[in-house]
Amino acid sequence: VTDDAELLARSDADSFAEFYRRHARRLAGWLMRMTGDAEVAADLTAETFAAALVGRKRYDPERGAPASWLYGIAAHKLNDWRRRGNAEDRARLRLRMERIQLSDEDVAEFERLGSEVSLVEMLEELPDDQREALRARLLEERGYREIARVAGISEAAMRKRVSRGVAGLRGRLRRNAS
Amino acid sequence: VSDFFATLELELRAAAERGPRRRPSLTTALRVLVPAALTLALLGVALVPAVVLLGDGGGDAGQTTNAAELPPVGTVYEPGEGRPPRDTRSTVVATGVAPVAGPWQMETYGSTRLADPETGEEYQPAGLRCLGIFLLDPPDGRGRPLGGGQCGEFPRTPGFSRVEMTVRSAKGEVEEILVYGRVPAEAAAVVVTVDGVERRRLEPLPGPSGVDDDFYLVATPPHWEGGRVNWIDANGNEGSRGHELLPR
Repeated sequence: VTDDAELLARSDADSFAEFYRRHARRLAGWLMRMTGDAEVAADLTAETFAAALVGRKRYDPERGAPASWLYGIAAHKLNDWRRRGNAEDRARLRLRMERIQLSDEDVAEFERLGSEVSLVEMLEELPDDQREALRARLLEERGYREIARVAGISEAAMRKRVSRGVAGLRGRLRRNAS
Repeated sequence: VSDFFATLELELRAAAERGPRRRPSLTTALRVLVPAALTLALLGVALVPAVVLLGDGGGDAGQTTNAAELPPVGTVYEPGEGRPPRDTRSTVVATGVAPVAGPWQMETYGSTRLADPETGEEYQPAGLRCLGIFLLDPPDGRGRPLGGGQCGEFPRTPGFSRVEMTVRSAKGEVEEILVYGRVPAEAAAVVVTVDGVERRRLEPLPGPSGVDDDFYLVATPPHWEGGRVNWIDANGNEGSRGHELLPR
């Protein structure tokens, strides 16, 4: 199975389509939860992938996983939507992509996706500093001292940051279960 | 059955095959920039800074503005609209909040002709591209917006400009320098270095729909004179020869 970074490094349409299929529904669900609006979530999903397509050569594996890069773009678009009140369409315009009108079935699908959540997605919803701390500590199993040094804070502060991140995940799990 | 995801995949496939819309090449840009630079050189004004104090400090003195009052990017002011009223049609292309300067909004507009009323000598032709900034609640204690801007092109760094605004306290002390400008859409980052050491790196701010340029603003401390600002492409290479930060 070709990994995501390799898919982004290739310039053919099939590779990007495969990258899209792996992440589209999960990302759409996350955007649905963030916005609560299927139309907005659909616009942001399309704009995020359009921006990813335009900028895929900019992806640097040393800066994080492809999924993190993709969610970073999406978070940027999301912030922009919150600031402006409408979803940006710049990348789609540059690619001459049409806006997709949602059917009732599409709206229902977005609502269903918005109700699904995984731990990895919840991790993406945490503040940047907590997400990076949890990823380093829990997924990469690096020591507190090392993570703290890289982040430029004390070991005690890093322990507190990880603890807050875990509490944040726990809260999200509870909300999702209720 | 939902077909949004299948339709989007088809759109993305088609877009991947035809590629993004091409941006103007350097040659095309030079065709526009060189005549503009020549015109300006003939006029003896390579770039025309226009820093102005705005408002009369009357009934609005002491009024504060917070980030929530910043207009959405893409807002257009027609002549006479806005506070203070704009002279020409202008578009808000970026907004933000700087540590000392507070909330700011960046705007593009076209220059108006400036000439000596007695001799008729032209200092600034009409129709140049301008980029300006408004501080909505500057720390100078005057209680009114502060605006500034620059008209003209930077022919040595096509698409990349550097304008500066000095932010002063109520005592007149320089507290912060806002370095801002246009940056090509190909830029992955804008970087400020001082003595060869990277001190700031930030993502360009996308302009509103219909505006091809990206923009940037870096709030720097006053003692960074001698520093440089430049844009970096996706491969980490410098995109231009860069600009020095202006000496104080």
